[in-house]
Amino acid sequence: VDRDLVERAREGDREAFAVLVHQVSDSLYAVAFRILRDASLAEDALQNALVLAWRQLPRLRDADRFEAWIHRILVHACYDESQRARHWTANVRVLPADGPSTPDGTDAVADRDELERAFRRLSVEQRAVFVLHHYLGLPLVEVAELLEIPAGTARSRLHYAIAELRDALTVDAELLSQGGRFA
Amino acid sequence: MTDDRSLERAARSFIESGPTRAPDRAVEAALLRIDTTSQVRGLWVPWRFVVMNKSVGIAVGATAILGIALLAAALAIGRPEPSVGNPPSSPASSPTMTATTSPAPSIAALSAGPLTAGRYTTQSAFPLRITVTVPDGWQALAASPSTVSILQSGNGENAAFLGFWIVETAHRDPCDPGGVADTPVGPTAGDLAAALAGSPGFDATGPTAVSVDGVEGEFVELIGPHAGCTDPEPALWLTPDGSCRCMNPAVERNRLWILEVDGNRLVIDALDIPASEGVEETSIADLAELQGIIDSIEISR
Repeated sequence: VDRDLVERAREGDREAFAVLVHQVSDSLYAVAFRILRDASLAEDALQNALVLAWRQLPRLRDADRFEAWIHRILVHACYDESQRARHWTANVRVLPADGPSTPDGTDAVADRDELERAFRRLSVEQRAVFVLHHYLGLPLVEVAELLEIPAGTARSRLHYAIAELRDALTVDAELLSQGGRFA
Repeated sequence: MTDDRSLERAARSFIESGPTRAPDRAVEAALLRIDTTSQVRGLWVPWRFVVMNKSVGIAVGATAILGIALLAAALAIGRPEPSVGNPPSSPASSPTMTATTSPAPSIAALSAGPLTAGRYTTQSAFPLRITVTVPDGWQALAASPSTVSILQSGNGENAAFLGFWIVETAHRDPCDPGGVADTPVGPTAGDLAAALAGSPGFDATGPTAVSVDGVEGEFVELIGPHAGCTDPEPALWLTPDGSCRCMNPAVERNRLWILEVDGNRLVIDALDIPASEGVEETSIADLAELQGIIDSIEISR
């Protein structure tokens, strides 16, 4: 990101900000989608984050921190969207199924649908750490700094995310073997 | 899947799949909203804190004590009844002396610039009509549709300040240099009072119930920011027209009366500098003037 663009946008230059938006929106949307696992929610989070970033940009003191700063705003926008959507995403329940799609848990792990379901069961905070670390490739220390949490908290969120993914996949595998599926 | 490492690898592979381009409609919609959205511009109280030379501080302190003694003698005859209910939490820090000069009988508009002693009212751009009695030596700062403020002039960089703010929301963490005013704050005075009282990096007293010119509300006292505050200009709240209440890095005491008046959430912000290491606090005489103005507040309803 061009520092000059950030400084011009901070001074109220809408055209400069529009250029910045086009530079960062793909990355922001990709992160939002991976945290929220929903295209519509990710679009809303992206829009809200961009508008909020524009409003708050004069408060950004260090133009070099723009990318980390706007990703932080995006993650908070994802938290808000997740909260709004909680009423329906929480209604995951087991329904009778036609039959197991895979015979054992090992194969099921490779199944995208199962990973999708398992990932959705993580808290949005766990997903954020996982995505920033594994998708954006940020070291955990930088993830912690971006999310304004202690490094130990970032580490434990990642640890528990993996543990819960394992648990979720194990439960799925057991349910599948018993002839159920999730809806 | 046999271990966490392979599980993590599979999950990482899963997370890498998915869209990598933002839909054009989302980006265009955001840009459209931005076209009609104002940026937040800080309204800093216009002084900078200075660490005074110790001998100067002693001299100023002695002058202030002498001034207070003379002032107290001059006011011994009596003073008007205050119209603002002082919160019970800080009686020692809320002097009860009034303004040092007699107000003019007419009421003038509170417009930017030096003020002579008299009675002043907020201008029409501000949604509420608030009237105060101001002594000599104060100035009005430039007003906005959501802010009216007055500042003691010529009394150094620890002068007292009084602001009237229409407040929309609060900052989640005033000390976050990249922070945003995104704390979910409900619509009532109590909601805002609770949010401000929970501001990280500040010592808070309250909220406690209070009455200002007959309007019931909440009182919060904030002292800070603490030494660990990383934002050189911490921001407390945001107004509906996108201005923030930004602070100087020095420790301030903000006494906040938070009221609901005619559908507006009004914050009366009385600011002074408390004593701390190497710091000259707002003088007792200046605090007395500030309290006199606070006591004179009338809110038209």
